[in-house]
Amino acid sequence: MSTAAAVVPARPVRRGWLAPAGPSLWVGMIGILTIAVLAALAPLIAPYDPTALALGKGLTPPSAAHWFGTDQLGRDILTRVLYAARIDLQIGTIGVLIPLVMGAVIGLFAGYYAGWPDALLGRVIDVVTAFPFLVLVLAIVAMLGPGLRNFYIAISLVSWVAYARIVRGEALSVRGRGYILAARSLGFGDLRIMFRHLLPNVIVPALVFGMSDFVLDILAGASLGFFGLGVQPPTPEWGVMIAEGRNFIITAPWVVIFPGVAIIVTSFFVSLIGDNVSDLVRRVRAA
Amino acid sequence: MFPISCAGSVRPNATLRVEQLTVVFRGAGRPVVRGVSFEIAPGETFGLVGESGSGKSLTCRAILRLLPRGAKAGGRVTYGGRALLELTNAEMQALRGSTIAMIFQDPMTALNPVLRVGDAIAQVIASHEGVGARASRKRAIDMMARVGIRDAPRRAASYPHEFSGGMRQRIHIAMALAARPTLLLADEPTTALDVIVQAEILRLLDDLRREHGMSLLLVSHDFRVVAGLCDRLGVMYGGELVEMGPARTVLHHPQHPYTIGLMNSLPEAVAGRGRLQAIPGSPPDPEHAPPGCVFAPRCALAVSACTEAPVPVVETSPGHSSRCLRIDRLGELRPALVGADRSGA
Repeated sequence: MSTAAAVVPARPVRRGWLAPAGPSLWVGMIGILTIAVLAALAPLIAPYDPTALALGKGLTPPSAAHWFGTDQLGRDILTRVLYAARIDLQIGTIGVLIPLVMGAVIGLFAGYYAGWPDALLGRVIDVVTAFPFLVLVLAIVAMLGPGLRNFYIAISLVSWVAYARIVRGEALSVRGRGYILAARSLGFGDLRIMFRHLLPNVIVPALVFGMSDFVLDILAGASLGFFGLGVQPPTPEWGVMIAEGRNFIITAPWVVIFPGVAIIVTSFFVSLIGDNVSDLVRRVRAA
Repeated sequence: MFPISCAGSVRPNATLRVEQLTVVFRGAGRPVVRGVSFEIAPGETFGLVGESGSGKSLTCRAILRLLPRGAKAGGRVTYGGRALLELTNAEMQALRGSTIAMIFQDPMTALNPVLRVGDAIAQVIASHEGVGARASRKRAIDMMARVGIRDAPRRAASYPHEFSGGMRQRIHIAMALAARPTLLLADEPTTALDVIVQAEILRLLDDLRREHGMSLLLVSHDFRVVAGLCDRLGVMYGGELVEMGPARTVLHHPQHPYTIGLMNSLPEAVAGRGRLQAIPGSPPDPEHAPPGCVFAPRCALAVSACTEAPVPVVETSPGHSSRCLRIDRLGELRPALVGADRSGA
């Protein structure tokens, strides 16, 4: 007797995971990819040396020789913006990945086991979030000393908390679902349930948050550079370039405008991806 | 169609014995399941009937040691001679799925939305029997075909949301049976489904039980679901097993006022002869039930003796027992019962 099979209409063949997404997802992905390629190829395509000084040619406006103009030390801004993309994409990526992994694992344990691990995590979250993000990062870098590596350490120590909180909240709500109980009834171990059954169902909001965190990390890197605690001159970095050019914002606005635009464009592409991912999640959840 | 006999973990002659099972929530005074005892012989189907909150599901989950947080099981549960409540967590985990499996009420939530159904089934086989990816995948597809999924090889790559409720329940059953358990606990397996699909799923469960030589514990709030399928029945009320016996005898000669009330509230029981009879009152708050018979406050036959002391279980005929002091007066309750045997699905 298989009338049910006859009653249920044949469903369309499963479409690709990304098929329902709008074109803006592709714009975002292609945009970020382009920036990444440009950054990777910087030594080949950049017209000048990013650190070569040309003291006589300081603050020249955009021209055929210098498309983006030059800064106060005569360095080509186009070249520096391209080279800076390497550092900034790295800051965004590492600044998201390490805290994401740390936070997801910790949040997963707390959310799955609830009880005392969860209570402990709650206290830690309270303590860390009691300090403003940037102040805490600044304080840690100030203690460890300036430099990119210490900046990553500081970012990791501070922002895993945000990911842990997101993953924990999701895990707490999902752990009560039928399929987690069903997985336990089939004899799967806790670790397997956590990482294979729970994680894929709880990680997406954290990934979406990661997209905006990416931008936040670049800005944090810029702020630290501003205080001289982040990327050290003469290495080009968008935030540092803006900080250095701020004195000439009236007389030579191109010095800050182009790295500023670079930050904005990068953030725009990243948030396009983020928006689409969260849209997708909502649609899949509704289905 | 599906090889039944080759798995090493199967012990065909295992009997499930539940003795004086209690479930108590931390901080609560009175257990919510009290003194429940029954046996399920190899290959037997045992039905557990009762309304929501009567402790059927907790009984099931206590057997698998999957009680909700804060609940603790007492008493003794043995399966094939192994005392389940005394096993280590790892031993119990190894038993789940491979020896005792469970299916749940709501097929909409019982499947993981991010796992392709074929992978979900294959995972069970791979983790319990250590067979390779290809072999377990092939068996998963066979299993899907066996539970009535058409075009199984292609459908194995689908996600749960691409299936209807009945189909999901079939897949859920396929997962539960993938590692060839010898005892299946089915907790309201058809409650969330419409009537036609219900009948098909029940038939499927019965066929699979026969093929695999499994024992089946079928939990339901609906007499009509268990009536046609079960060899023996237990009726639960307020956390206690109030009546138990061969399905036929319990259905035709119920020996407890609650069982009679439950049957009289079925539409078939009155079959056009007037109004349905509801049981007056509402189910007891399990924590504040009276010291004697839990059903006494709603029982038309109750006398003061019913509420004063715990009521012993009496055997009314061989294998048929009831927890009632007023069995001799049950005749007063009977009139509406005539249609009950038509309920056999």
